[in-house]
Amino acid sequence: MNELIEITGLTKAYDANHVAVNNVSLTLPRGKIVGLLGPNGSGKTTLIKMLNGLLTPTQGSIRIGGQPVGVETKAHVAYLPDRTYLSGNKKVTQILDFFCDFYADFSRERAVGMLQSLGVDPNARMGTLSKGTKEKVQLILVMSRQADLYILDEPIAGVDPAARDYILRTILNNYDPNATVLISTHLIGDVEQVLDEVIFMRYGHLVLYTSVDNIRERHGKSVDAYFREVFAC
Amino acid sequence: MLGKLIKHEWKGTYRMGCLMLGAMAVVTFLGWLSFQAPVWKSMNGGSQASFGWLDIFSMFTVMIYAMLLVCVTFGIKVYLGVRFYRTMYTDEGYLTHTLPATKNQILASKILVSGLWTLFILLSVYLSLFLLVCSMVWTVVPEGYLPADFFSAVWEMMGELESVFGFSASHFVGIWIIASVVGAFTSNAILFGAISLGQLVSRARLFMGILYYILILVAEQMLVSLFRSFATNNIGIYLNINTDIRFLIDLLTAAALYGAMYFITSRKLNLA
Repeated sequence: MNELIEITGLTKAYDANHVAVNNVSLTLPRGKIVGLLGPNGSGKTTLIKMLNGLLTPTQGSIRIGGQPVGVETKAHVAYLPDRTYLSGNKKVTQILDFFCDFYADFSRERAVGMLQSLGVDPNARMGTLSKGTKEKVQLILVMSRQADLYILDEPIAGVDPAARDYILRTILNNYDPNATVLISTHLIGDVEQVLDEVIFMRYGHLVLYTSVDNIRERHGKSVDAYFREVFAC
Repeated sequence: MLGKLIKHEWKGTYRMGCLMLGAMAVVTFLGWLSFQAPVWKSMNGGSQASFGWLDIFSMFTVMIYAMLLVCVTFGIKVYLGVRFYRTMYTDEGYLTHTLPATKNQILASKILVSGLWTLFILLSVYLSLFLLVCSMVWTVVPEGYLPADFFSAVWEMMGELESVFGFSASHFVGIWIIASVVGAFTSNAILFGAISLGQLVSRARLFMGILYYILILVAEQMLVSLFRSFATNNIGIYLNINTDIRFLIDLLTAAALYGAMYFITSRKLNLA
């Protein structure tokens, strides 16, 4: 089975006037790096939260690897949220212990290697780290897993350009033919080089799901340029 | 998975738990110290010491003891409630709810660990009060009178209550012990359930959680009063039934709120 994510008629309404995701149906295959793109308030983060079981859909269904969102899918999904979710009291090494305990696919060696590459002290407490360094630690934790699906919500927004390059290289180096990486970002120009496919969302609707090559061939533009054209204010 | 969750929940709470137990030790020492003042010794007629600054300090220390005892008991409850809210419904909830663990495992680990800390604090409060009573008995009562005599006198008094009013001392103490142990866990289930109920509203969720908690406690008290009023006019049986009903209502409320918590975290979870 090549399909990894199957989304059917997915809707999330916070109230009658605020529908964040509206009747989205989508199937994503394995082995792709997919960009989830759209302006602010387009429903990207809401969709991601539903994929991770942090929001309950109003309607519709999600299946990941053939399973509804639950314990089984969480064991195989590595999620990087758009915020710091680690306790400031804990040391980085304690967080590595935590991930080792809960995720069978977590590689401590890989995490330690990445921490060294990015110059993060494993004995530092999370609360003492800068915002950018916290984001690096969170990304390292996610990319140190051998997951089926990586969901990265704004993975490069808070880090410096040098770290961005490292992060993108890490995503490419960890590329697994059976895994899919879903990246939500506004910095399209930076991630475009690693994307295979893109999803455009606007006002909670799915506008476009196609390959990056298709955009370049049919429209003769980069994804960044095409995005600016589609979502021009 | 439950074992791992309990391990990490324990690791996350042991600093504050130990701090509270340490505070209890200090509080108990303060209480003991206050009964060493001459004013207490003068009460048994053995000494006629004058009422000096040390006695004022002693009285003041007793007041501080009582206040700190309440603070520690209340403080652990606040800490556990805040920790539950933070790890379940704020940014830290992103980690909790993406762990490959069932909602039952997550909730059970939090209630078990919080319950253990509440039980330890409760035991330390009982121990502190016991030591304080011993210290007081030693100081105030005439020489040769031991704390054991005091406690056997109390037990005898309870026995007299039994013969006069139909009050069962053994039943009362039995239920009191069971309610103390089980109540350490049910009280946290009720607190966590109320905080979870607050998640059903769209705004001011924490405030609503606290409000629900207060309302639940008031409703529980009203129910206890209601059932108690139907019970009997006999004071002894009334006292027994009071503890029984309170324990039973606590148990039922905790079970209902656990169900509500499970439903909210499984079907209604909406992390901001």
